[in-house]
Amino acid sequence: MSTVRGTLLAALIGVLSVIAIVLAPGSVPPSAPMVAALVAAALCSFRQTVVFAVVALVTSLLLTRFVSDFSGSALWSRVIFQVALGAIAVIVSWKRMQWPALSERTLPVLHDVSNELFDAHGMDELGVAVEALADPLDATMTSLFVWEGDRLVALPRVSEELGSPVAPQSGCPGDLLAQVVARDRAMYWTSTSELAIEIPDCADWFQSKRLQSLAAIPVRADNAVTGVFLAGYTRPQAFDVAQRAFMNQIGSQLSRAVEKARVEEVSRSIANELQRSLLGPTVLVPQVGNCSRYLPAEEGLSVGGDWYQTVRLGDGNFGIAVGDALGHGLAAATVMGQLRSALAACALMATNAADALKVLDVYAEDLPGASSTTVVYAIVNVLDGWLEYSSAGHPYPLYVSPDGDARYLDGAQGLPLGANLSRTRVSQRIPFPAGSTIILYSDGLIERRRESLDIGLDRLKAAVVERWQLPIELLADDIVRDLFVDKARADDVAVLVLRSPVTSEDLFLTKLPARTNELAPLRGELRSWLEQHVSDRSEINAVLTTVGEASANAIDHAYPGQRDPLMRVEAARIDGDVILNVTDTGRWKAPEPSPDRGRGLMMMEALADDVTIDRRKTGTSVTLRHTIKRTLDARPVHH
Amino acid sequence: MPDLCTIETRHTDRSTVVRLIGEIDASNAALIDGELRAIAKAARNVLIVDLNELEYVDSAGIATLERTTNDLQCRIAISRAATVYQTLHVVGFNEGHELYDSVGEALS
Repeated sequence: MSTVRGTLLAALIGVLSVIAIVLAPGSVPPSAPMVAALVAAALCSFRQTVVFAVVALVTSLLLTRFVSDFSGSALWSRVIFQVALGAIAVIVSWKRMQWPALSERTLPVLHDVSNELFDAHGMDELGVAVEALADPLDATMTSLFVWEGDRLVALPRVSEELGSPVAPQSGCPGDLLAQVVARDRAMYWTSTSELAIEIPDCADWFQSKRLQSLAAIPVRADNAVTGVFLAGYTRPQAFDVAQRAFMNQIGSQLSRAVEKARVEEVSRSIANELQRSLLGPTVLVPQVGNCSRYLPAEEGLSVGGDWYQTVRLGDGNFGIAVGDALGHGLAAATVMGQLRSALAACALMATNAADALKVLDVYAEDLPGASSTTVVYAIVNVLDGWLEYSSAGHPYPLYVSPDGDARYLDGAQGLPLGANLSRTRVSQRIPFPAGSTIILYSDGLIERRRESLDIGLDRLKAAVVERWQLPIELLADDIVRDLFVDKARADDVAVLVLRSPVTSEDLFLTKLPARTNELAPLRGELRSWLEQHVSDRSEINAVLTTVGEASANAIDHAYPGQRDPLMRVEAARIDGDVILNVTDTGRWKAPEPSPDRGRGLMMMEALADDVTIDRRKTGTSVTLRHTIKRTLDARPVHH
Repeated sequence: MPDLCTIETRHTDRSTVVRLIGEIDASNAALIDGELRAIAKAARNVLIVDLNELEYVDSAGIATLERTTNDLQCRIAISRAATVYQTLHVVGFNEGHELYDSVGEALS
């Protein structure tokens, strides 16, 4: 009911009661006009209520004295009664004004809130939207816990306020959440002491967050509690009717938002799985060091038209390729996936690099969208030390010799796939001695608008020459990072780096089975390499220890039952530092206090100057930096 | 890896001194544990484990050494000059237990 109607109603009641009392004294009590004030208190603004209360009080006092003819104590008791009614009307109205009325003030807020919750895609974004609820709610922190299996997980997932997954029955806020879930109703604690009585274990948690009041709202779907929303306040809150109503509204908005986010998570994981099957992770193979990077142009899609491929060919041969199907987005990705698989099959059958591309030409001719795809394919044999490549219109591979000379391989260029089958493809074979590096990439890495391709090629070469000794994982990261400065990515980018195993003055790269009996031989090899650069025995020992721990972790990570788990250990001397990298194909395990291996990470951190652990889907990569205090040679030490 | 770590045992009237020479890592930690326990079983006097000749020890080796020497109530000799001293120091090896600089000190 609007304020205007409320005013009219109150006025009508007031006037009618006065008329009734004047026309038929005794039929209606003289306090009747006060009802108008009470109605105003419920329906009108504070100011109107005060006016009504004063007018009604004066009127009813006059009526009591002069129309109904009360006097003495009877008069006084009526005066007190009427004043009290007026006071009640004013107080109620005052309180009402303080409560943000759901209909007036909070509705626009609620509208904004539900828009934001519904704009969130997936659980992570929902978490961010939930965090932003603190503002409209005037809360210090807001968080949403949702079931994930048998645990309640905090959203946002990395919430500084509330930490990581909690089991609903253990500790805090687990205990608190369990109560809300069990009772299936909103719970409010207006003070710390109130909480301490109900859930004693949570009092400390409450205090550590400096919270004074807390609201916990169940989030439901299909009559089951799917989550709990928490709003904490550092200032005491009364949680009055309006506030509770608002909280409940948010709870029901969240119910729908959570359902939506869940559905999106499922469809996203299906999409990701399909995408992964199109562009699988790089596998570590024995004999060579290889890694790849991929950056899709399309937001939300993790693959595009670019691709890389690695194939084990037997006889110590190893095939690598990078290709680029026209366009990007889903259409290009489906073409990419087919060409990528086809190339692997072609590579297995072909006797040289050009033949593999010739077969792919035939395949691409009948594949819609595949013509004009560029691809470079190379076969590497690190045992015999050669590389053979053939290019179908693709940017030149970059070769880096074991002593850091970089040059582009432009001796086997041909036309893109599928354009004209009558042409011939050529291969070129070059020496690929130990410590050689080859970098395949797609044009997205070098191309920039309004710039000649030569400038891009020079830029890539310069970037590589500057830090060519870096372990390949770091080299790949650096190239991708450096070449994308100030560039709004319009194209996909694929990069593949391969280096043959080596122990030279500059480089150390070895590939070995991830087994404990490999640790001692590894130390032996690494020790002799380190002795070229480091004179101090305890410094060498520190490096061997950190690499030993990283390698032991890699061995621990190997999937149970994984066939031939491998790891790659690399080292390079860069100015005054020795940089080491240990990469495996296993799953990173969080350091747990297992009695035997628990202190590995601690040792790495204590002995190395810098430890970086990079957990990828394909495995874990640990990078260690040791600043050498006492070097062997006269090279200047930069810090 | 039989020669990764050699164990030299010297018996005197008052003590049995076990010198670990070489490297201990995840591959041979269990082996060393077994050997130390066998020696302790045979010995009837004070057992001293000398780590001064140890060239390398990893976290698996440290954990094993700690557990074994505590179980067997050995005395441990290691000087600051030893190769693995820094490694052991970093992880707080045998915190709460006394470390002796040399075998002679451990005996006195």
